[in-house]
This record gives sequence, C-alpha cells and structure tokens, in this order.
Amino acid sequence: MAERATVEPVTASGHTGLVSGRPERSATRVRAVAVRASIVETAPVVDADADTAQDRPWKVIVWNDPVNLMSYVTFVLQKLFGYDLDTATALMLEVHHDGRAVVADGGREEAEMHVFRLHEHGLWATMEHDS
Amino acid sequence: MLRRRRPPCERTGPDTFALRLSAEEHEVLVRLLGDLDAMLDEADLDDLASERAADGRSTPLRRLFPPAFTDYAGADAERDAEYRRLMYSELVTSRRAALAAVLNVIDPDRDGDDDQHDGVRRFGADIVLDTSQITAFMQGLNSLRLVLGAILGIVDDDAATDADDRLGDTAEYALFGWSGWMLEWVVQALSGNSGSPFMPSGPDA
Repeated sequence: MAERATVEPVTASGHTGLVSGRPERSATRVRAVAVRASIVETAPVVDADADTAQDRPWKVIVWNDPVNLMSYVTFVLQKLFGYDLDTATALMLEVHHDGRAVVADGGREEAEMHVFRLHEHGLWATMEHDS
Repeated sequence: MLRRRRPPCERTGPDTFALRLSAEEHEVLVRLLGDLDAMLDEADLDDLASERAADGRSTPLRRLFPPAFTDYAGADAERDAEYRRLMYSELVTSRRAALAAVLNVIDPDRDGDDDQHDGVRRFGADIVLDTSQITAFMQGLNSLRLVLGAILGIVDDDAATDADDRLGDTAEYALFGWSGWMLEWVVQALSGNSGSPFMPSGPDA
C-alpha cells in the first residue's frame, strides 16, 4: 500500500494518455447501460441448493496492493462499513503489514455486495468461506 | 516573504468543497479522465474475465476488474464466473457514471452547453462541489491512479517506493505522483480533517 504521496510533482504538459496503454487486441463496444440498477436488484442469483448445503458464512477480505493510499483505504473502510477511525486504521494496517485483512462477513449475497462496493472504490477484495 | 499556497482541495462547508486546479492540471485531468472513460466504454468484458493469469494485475484496465472470490481459479471458479458475468457491466456503468459526474464538474463546457451543469458553481478559480461530486472525483482520481500504476508496472511496494524517486522520469510517473498527491488532499477534505495531509500538525504544506 502506498504510504503517502509526499511531494507535489510538476504535472506533465507534454502529451500522455491512457490510450497509449490500450491493449493491443481489438476492442468491442459494450452495450450501453441506460440506467444503473441498484446492487440489490442485480444481485447474482444464488444457487440455493449448493449454498444451502454449504451454509457457512463468507468472509470479505481486502488485500494489500502497492497503489492504493493508506489514507484512502482507511477512508473507504469507514465509508462502506461505518467503522470508526481507529478500527478502520487498524484494519488498514493489518492489510498493509500482513497482506490481507477480513473486513466483513455474512451470507453470500451480502458478501458479494461488499466485494462489489470495494471494487467500485478500487480496492482489491475477495470473498471466501469462513473456515 | 513566503507565499502560502491554498490547498488544492478543502471543505468549505457542511456539504461544499473547493477544488483548485491550475490550467495545466485541468487540461491533463480532463484528457486522462476522458481517455479512461473511452477505455471503459470500449472494454471487452469477456476478455477481461477470461484472461485470469496469475499476474492478473498487469494489464491496465484489468486492475479495475479484480476477481471476487479468493479461490477464483479453484473451488469458486464457477461462482466467480457468475459474478463476472453479472457484475462487470455494473462496474463499468458505475465507473463511467462517476467519471461523467467528475467531467461535468471540472469541464462543464465540453458539450458546448453554457447552461448550468449539475449545479456546478464557480467562484474565481475555485470549483465548488458538493459531497457526492467530490466523492465521484475521488473515485475517478483513484481509478486513474490504478490504471497509471498498472501502466508503470507498479506491482509491489518496492516499485511504488521507487516511483516516488522517478517523478521526473516520464510524464506517466509525474502524473502518478500528482494523482496521489491530489488524492491525499481530497481524502483529507472528505474526512473532515483540517490542515495538510502531509504534516501531522502545523501549517499547511
């Protein structure tokens, strides 16, 4: 996790752009989505039989990555889960030092919603069964 | 006499924030966010989902579409495939909506419409935003930073530290550093903290 952006760099005035980094493969245009459905309305259909049989809770894990700022991760954890600053900071430091931290748990749909929201905010998050 | 620079982003009221960009920063930011929006618009989600290599973070846009299950290559492969099928398009929509909200704020005249745009107000050089707008800006800026990091091959903490020493090497490194610097200020403002995020106490940077 990036600790802090320490200096104010001079922005580049020459051309640079993300387009130069575009993958070589030809891109196909995605069908435009006119209205964003709520996460609840578009929650994946659960295979009820499979998940009933394995009715164990799921853990939501945030993984360390070298780009997200520590302050940003802390803020996102507070924003999405309502943690106070101390708790969010402790979780962030666990991610930073141990490589991962469990930030929430629950049923599959709830965990998927948390993962989606974390992905929306650019965090590297996954879910796994609570063993 | 020292001249104090005003913070590039600060909270000015319960639901208002001021964003201050130089002309150069504004130009670069509008261009890069537009590029990112174009990449998302043209993204082949099937390709992104199928190339789940161990080094899955290396492709610029793929960093914005991580797997949802820890064991995505093993026991949870089917669940992860279902998540990708249903939710990647939602991620695209969500990110593009945030980018549109940001571009409407910082480049309201890009459509040639001089009428009011989403309640954007300008006062002098400040761009005034509300909480939802500055949050969208934060998310768009972070997405941009993630893609820049992928382009630069920043795959571990050592590479991230090295990037701090290479700000003058290329435009991409400079932009990576700048986006992190700006993001620190935005998070600081949203967190309700005063002062510089780069000093534990004392005057603003």
